Formats: sequence, C-alpha cells, structure tokens
Amino acid sequence: MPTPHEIIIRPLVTEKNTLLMEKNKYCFEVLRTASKPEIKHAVETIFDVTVTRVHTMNVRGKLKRRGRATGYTRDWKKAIVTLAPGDQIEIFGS
Amino acid sequence: MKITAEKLPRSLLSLQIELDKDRLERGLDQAARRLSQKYPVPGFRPGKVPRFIIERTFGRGALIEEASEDLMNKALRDALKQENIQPVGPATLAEISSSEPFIFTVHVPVAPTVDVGDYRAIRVPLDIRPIDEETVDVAMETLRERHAVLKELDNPRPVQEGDHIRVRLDTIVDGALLVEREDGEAAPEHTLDVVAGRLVKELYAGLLGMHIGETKAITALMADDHPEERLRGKEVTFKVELLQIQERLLPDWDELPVLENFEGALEALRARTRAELEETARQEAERKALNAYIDQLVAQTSFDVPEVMIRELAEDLLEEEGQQFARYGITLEQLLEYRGQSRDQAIDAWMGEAERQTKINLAIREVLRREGLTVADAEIESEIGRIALDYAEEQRESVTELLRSNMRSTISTLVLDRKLRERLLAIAAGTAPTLDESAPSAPEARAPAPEEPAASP
Repeated sequence: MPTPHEIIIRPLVTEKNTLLMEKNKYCFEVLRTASKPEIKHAVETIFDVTVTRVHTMNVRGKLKRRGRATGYTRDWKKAIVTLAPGDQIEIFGS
Repeated sequence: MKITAEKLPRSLLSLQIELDKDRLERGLDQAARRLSQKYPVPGFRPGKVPRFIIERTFGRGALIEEASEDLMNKALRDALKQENIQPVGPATLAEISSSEPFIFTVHVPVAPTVDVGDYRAIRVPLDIRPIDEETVDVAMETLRERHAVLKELDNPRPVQEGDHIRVRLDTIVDGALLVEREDGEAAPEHTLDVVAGRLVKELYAGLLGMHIGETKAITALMADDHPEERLRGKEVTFKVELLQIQERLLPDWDELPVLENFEGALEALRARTRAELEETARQEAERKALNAYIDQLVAQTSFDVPEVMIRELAEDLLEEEGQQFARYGITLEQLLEYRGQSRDQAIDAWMGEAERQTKINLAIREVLRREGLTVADAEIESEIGRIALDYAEEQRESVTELLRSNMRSTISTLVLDRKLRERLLAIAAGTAPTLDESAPSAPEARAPAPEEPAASP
C-alpha cells in the first residue's frame, strides 16, 4: 500500500484553485491508482486536518507536437479535497 | 504617517517618515500586482497572481523592495504637503531604517536662508571717467578714419607716414617663429596703417622709408603689458617684406558730417560725439559700481545654500556651453570626449562659477524682496510701446500684440531688472528713498516676476 507522501504528489497552485481555496477546497495531483478514502487519509495524515469530501478526476494527457512527431503528455489524477470549516493547509500560504 | 523633521546644515531638512501599516499593506498589494504583471507564475494569468502566492514565490523582501520606491515617493509627497515644506530640488534617500514598520529618512533641500545684512549701508562711489578734449579728438579722428579712401600710388615712392601697406610679416621670439608654418610656406600677409602710436615704435620707424620688394629685419622690445602673453617684455624681431603701398586719403573735416549722415555742422557732430562718449563713460561707471556693489553685497551676505541648487545651475551652465558648441556642429558628448572629461567631471568644473552665480542671484533676490520692488501694468505697457518704436511702422501693431500676449512676463522681468539696477545704484550712491516712501502704491502693482532678475555682472 502506498504511503501518504506517495499518494499526494504535489499541491496544484493555479488561479482557479486559488479561488477554490476560498471555499476551503484544495487541489492536489495524486497517485493515479489512489482511491478517495486513501486520498482523504493521506491529506489528513500529512496536513493534520479533517477532510469532509474528496472529488477526483482523471486528466487526460495533452496532445503535443515536436516537429513532425506527435505524442501525448502523461495522464494524471487530480483530487479536490474539501476541508472541515476552520481547517486550512499552510503549504498554500494563504 | 509619523514624520520627524530635523534641520541639517546647508539648508537641508532631514525627514524621517514612518508609514502606517494600512498604507504599507496597500503599497504591498499594488507592488504584488506589478510583480505578477512583470514575472509570470505558472498556473496564473499575468497580473492575476494573489499576493500571498507572490509573497511565497518571490519573498516578502522582494515585495517590499518593489513597493518601497512608490511608497516612499507618495509618502514624501504627502509629508511635504502635510508639513508645508517647499523643496528647491529633488530629495535624496538617506536610509531605510526598517522595513516593518516601514521607516525611511530623506534629505530635502529647502529654500536657503539668506541674510544680506545692512545692504543699504554699502556705498560705492560712481567714478565716471572725465571726457577731455583729447579723447573727443581721438574719437573724431576715428570717425574720420572710417571714411578713409585707399589710393594706388601714381609714382613709386618709399613708405611715408599715414600710408596703408601690405607686407609679409614674420614675428620671431626667442629665435622661433611666433606662428609656426609648414616648410616652404610663405610668411603670412598683413595690412598695416603706418601711423605713429598704432604700431610698435621700432616697427613704425623701421617701416618708414622702405621700398616695395625690400626686406628688413626690425627688432623691438615689447611692452610688459602686451596683450600677447608670449611677447611680454621680450625682444622681438619682425621680418618684413613690403608688397604694396597705398595712400590713405582722409576726408576733409568739413565733409565728415555729411559722410556720417549727420544733419548739422562739424561742431554739432563733435558735441554729439562728446555726449556719446560721456554716456558710454557713465554706463561703464554704473556697470563697475553695480558689480562692485554686488561683490560687496555677496561678501557680507551669509548663505546656507543647498548643494543640489548649485549643482542644478552647474548642469544648466554645462548645457549652455554645449548649446554654444552645437552651433558649430559639435555635440556636448564630442566636446567632453575631446576634453577627456566625464559629464560629472565637467559639471564639477562648473561648480565654482555656479556657486558664485547662485549666491549673487540669492542675494539680489533677497534685496529685491526687501525693497518690495514691483512692476505695474502701466510700466509694462510703456515698455512694450518703447520696444515697438524700434520696428517699422507697419510691423508695430503685430509686434505690440505679440509682446502683450506671449512675452508679457519677459517684459515684466526686463522692467523689474531695470528698476532693480536703478535701485541698487541709488543705494550704492546713498540716494535711495527710504523703504516706506518707495513702497508700491499703485493699485495695479504686480508682484515681482518669478524669473530671477538678470542683474548678475
């Protein structure tokens, strides 16, 4: 079984996700094979917070071209984690 | 905003400004927006990065640094307004003592304190050079000389007193030519009037009696006060080759008034010449007296002039010098390169003159203020009328219009300058009215123009 630090690959800091943070929702890139309960457990363990909901989605790799050669970037999994009111994750720095 | 002001020497004011937290935060917000415009952050459109992300990405120090200039400028502007301070030059940042709370110190140059002392006690006698008959004679002779006609000789003869001659002339001092020339090049040609008193005594005597084509070496001892420094007190040899002799025919004295377009007899022309000489002597004496008065005024005045004021004038003087050379197609950069000077060095070279001029201007401005001299509208109108008279009749209306609209302030300065000169001369002569009598009474009297009077010597 993967460890919490293997499940949570990196936080996603973007304009859209910053807006979500106002609703106490934080985005992460997570291990593609991780399930919602695993993600919930990992976030709670690493950041010492209470997770109330987890939404996930599989993001398809983008089509990229380099000259005549075409290919795809890797597929990955995004998780949007809603925290309990009053909790927040310091790593995002808000 | 907390402001602590402290007076420093040379009319500098030290302002320590502490910014409110709110003001600092507003400044940091604006700086964050600027930073996010300048530096893209992945995941965000330019200018849309929240401040906390900027702080995390670049650090709070960078944010404060970005904000500081803008914050300080605005805070300084507000501080100057709040404390009612009128700076006379750009402020310089002395130090940033703390970033949180944000405290910084600036040095602001303010109007210098000028104490002209008892400027009304300075006395300079007006020493007008007397015009004697001999001076008038010389002036009349000069007028006559202007109408001299050159005539080729009918029969060859040697040089006589009064002739106009063309010669090749080499001047040799200490065994070397005064003006160097290429090998094989002929000596430079000169024209001379063989008149006693106009040439060096020995040269005059040596030229008399020479024939065309004759070559002569004439040795003379030059005066100690000769205008050419290299010749002063030296024994000089003139190598002369006579090329041409022309006779100078001077007009008869009776013809002189006509030749001068003067309506009147010779005696009247002489009287006019005397009057002109007396006027010139008076103007010269007034100029000397004014300069002497200003020198004494500046000497007794205590100044506290900020360095920046002098430096600004030194920069202006350098620019003026550059403009003079620009007429000959030489740029200031080329001039400085030729001199091997940097711009700062060139400005430093002007600092002495700039300090002198600044002190004169400040002292005169202070005297002007104390004397309460003003220019009335009627005086400006009368000056405009006087200037217009110098133009042809058909141009007068347009010139008057132009002077009234575009050049009114210049005319005002001109009139004020003249009144100031007159007043300074009156003070120097001890004939100035007491200040109560001279106070402006005309209802339309205008305040002195903001430009400095050009009364510098």
